[in-house]
Amino acid sequence: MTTRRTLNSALLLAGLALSVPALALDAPTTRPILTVSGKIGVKNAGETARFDMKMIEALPQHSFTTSTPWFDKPVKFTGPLLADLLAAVKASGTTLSAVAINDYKINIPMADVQKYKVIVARLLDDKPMPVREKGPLFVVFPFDSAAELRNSTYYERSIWQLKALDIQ
Amino acid sequence: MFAMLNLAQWQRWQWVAALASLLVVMLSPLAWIQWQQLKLLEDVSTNQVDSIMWQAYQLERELSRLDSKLHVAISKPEQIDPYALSERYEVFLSRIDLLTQIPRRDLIDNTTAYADAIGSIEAFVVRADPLFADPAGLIQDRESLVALVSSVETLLPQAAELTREANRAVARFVDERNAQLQQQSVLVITLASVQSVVLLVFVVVLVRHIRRQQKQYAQLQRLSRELSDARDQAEAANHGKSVFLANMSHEIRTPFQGLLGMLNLLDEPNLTPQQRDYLQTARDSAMHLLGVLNDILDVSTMESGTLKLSESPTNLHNVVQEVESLMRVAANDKGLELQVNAASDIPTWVMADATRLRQIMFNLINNAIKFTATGTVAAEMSCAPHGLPGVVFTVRDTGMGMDTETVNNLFTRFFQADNSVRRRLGGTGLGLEISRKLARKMGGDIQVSSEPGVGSVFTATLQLQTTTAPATETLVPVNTGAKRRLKVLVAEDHPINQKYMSILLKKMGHAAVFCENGAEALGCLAQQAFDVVLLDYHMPVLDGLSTAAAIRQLDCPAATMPVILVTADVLNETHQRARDMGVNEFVSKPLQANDLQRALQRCGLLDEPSALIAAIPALSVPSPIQSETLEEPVRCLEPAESETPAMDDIDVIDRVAYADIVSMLTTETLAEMLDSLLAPPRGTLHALVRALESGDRSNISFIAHNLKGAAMLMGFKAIAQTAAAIEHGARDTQDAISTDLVSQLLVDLQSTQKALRQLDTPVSA
Repeated sequence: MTTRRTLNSALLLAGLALSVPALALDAPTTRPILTVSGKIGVKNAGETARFDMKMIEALPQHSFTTSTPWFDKPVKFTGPLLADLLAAVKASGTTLSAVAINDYKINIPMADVQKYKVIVARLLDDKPMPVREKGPLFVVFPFDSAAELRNSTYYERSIWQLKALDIQ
Repeated sequence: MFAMLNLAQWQRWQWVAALASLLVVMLSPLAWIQWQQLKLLEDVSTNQVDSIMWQAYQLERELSRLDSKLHVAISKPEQIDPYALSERYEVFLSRIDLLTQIPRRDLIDNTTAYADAIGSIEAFVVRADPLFADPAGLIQDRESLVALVSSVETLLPQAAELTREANRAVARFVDERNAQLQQQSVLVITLASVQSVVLLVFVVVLVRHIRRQQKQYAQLQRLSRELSDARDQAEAANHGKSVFLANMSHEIRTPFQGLLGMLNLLDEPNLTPQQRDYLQTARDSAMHLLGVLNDILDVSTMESGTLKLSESPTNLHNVVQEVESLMRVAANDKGLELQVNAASDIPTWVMADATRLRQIMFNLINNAIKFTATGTVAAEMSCAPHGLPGVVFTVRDTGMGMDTETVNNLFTRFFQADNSVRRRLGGTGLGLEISRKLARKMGGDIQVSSEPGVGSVFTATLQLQTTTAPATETLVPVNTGAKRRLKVLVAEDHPINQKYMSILLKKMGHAAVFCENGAEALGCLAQQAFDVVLLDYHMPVLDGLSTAAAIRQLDCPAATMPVILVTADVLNETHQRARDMGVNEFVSKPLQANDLQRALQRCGLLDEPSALIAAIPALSVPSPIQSETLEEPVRCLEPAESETPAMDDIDVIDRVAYADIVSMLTTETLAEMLDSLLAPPRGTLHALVRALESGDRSNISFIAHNLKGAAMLMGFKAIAQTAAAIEHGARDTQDAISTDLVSQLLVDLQSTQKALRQLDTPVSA
């Protein structure tokens, strides 16, 4: 675990070194939709880092299709890896405290982020998600890729209408 | 049904198939139930059934929050962020799909609460959507806000009802699930019970099977026990029969000896021809009976499997000559021509039991003479044809011959060609059977071919090993008359027997040393060297058998010397036991010169027999048919011990036996012997009378035994019988000895003395 973490840190550092000119996180140019706080190394609004949709879109995009308890059929999710997002703010804690617009709150261990290909989805079946359709951001685990994910622990951690992350 | 299941006959594959199908039948329902339960659990985990209630509650909650936001917008429009108001509405909207699109919405979507609530909410959304599209405008439009609030507040109770309905739906689902689980539990229990029953049935079948096997096993064991008991009984019975036969022949032959002796004494020159004829007939009948007895004894010996051939180097030419000379008389009597030849190329010396060999030859020739009225009987001893080992003895006659059926039955016991012949010619019908058994014992057989009216040919093939002449054979031509002088040690406790044997051995030309029992014999052997030891069977201190065993244990050359046992016991079993103890040969009591001579020869101590026998005066009973006596000499004088003494009808003295004794002894010695037996007060008879008066049983038994032996030797039959009765009474019973026996003994003494006086003059002459 330590080795792995060290390796991740090294990768993060490498990534940072490549993007030296953008080392300081740009301030959002449109309405912010996600606020990251807590143990982070890069900030752009006081003690927090704020993202608008453009910044989310700028991160490397990933997608997978999976079945979920909330849709009749398997659907396709697209968005940046949660790990990439956290790397962007140099997060260094062990737990993420995620909060939704409706004040739903859940803790996600940092280990999950490293172990699974967790994405912060912004597209559902290639279409942006309005709030009424669990948007604009939806943390999704790749349920179909591992049986151990198909239980209430991971269903609870899949938070939609995500609005804030607090790194502890 | 189960009786038809014969488990014992099942093959391995049948067992495998039965067990496999049993397992399939028993386990597949269980597997099916497990599969159902697995699916149920999967369903629960993927569908998150209980989230229905959560979603309904969240919908209701978001509606409340929208309601309060709208109230704020009405009361304090300046504090409201239009985006936040729109977001609140959007969040509420997101909850609608979460409930209506949920996978297990079927649990509630058919209820009225659901239909009402969702219908009203959809109507509300249709009206509200355009208004919330411009949240800034909406905040300024108080009228619309109030209308929205009123709509929301009519929706709230419906949403609350929907939450309760969702709760009830989940409860129903749980009930339904419980019912399924219960059903499956019942199914599992039922299956388990069925399996238990099946298992029980299986166990019962197995137990029955095992019980049946155990029962069969027990039956088999019982049967085998019974069979083994039956075998033991049969063997005991057979043994009893052998003993009975041996005893009977023994018992019958004893008086026969007397009968024959009497007949011989009657044969005086002054008889009329008619008397002579009667006498001859009586003698023939007696001899025939004796032959029958000997045959029966042979058969019983063969059947008990104790018949043993005692092989020794035998001169075949001599045997043929003997047979010829003995049979010639019978042939001449019938007016037949008898030719007996020995081929020149037959071996001179062979290993054979000479007595049994002669028996076969006599029998075949005797038969031929019997069944041939006129013509020739031709016998020939030749080598086996085609270079085979052994010899062939062929007997051809010109007799009546036999048809095929008769030939086939010829060797069957008691079979005789013709009943009329049987009546005319006599015979037991055992002769051929005995001969064939003897021939087979010698590794050969007897064949017969015959043609009715022309004659018969009997062929005996015998496997006789050629051997070299015994070392002493070379002495025969030069020393025919010179006998080898043997140094003989005799262990015999009775003085009369000692005396008798001393005379006998002296006459035979041997030197004898006497001792009284086995222990003394062992002492003598340690001091001097002897050629042979004669041991009495019954002796005080150490008996004959024990002495023989002790001699074999000695640590000096005497351990290998020949031992001859002197016994009255004719049973083969005793002989076998004695041989095991180290005895080489046997002679019967009372001792006869011929017997002793043969025994010594068999021990390899003497040379050619004929010359020596001739040198000894008539010690055996003279017999008109010599072949019979040669095979089975008349032996025992010993009377039955259980016999009651009925003296009137019995001869007091066996004249023949007495004559034998007298012929051997000097007058002086005879008188001495008679005195030691009969004269008062030291005679054995008087010692017995005194012992009877004193009542010491063991002393009575001992003296009576001695008196019996001595009296028998002398031929005093009456005294011997009474002494035997006394010995029996003292030794084998607990009864008081009858005083009648004492007086009987004295009566016997008187009658014996009287008889002796009558005999005195003619016999000793």
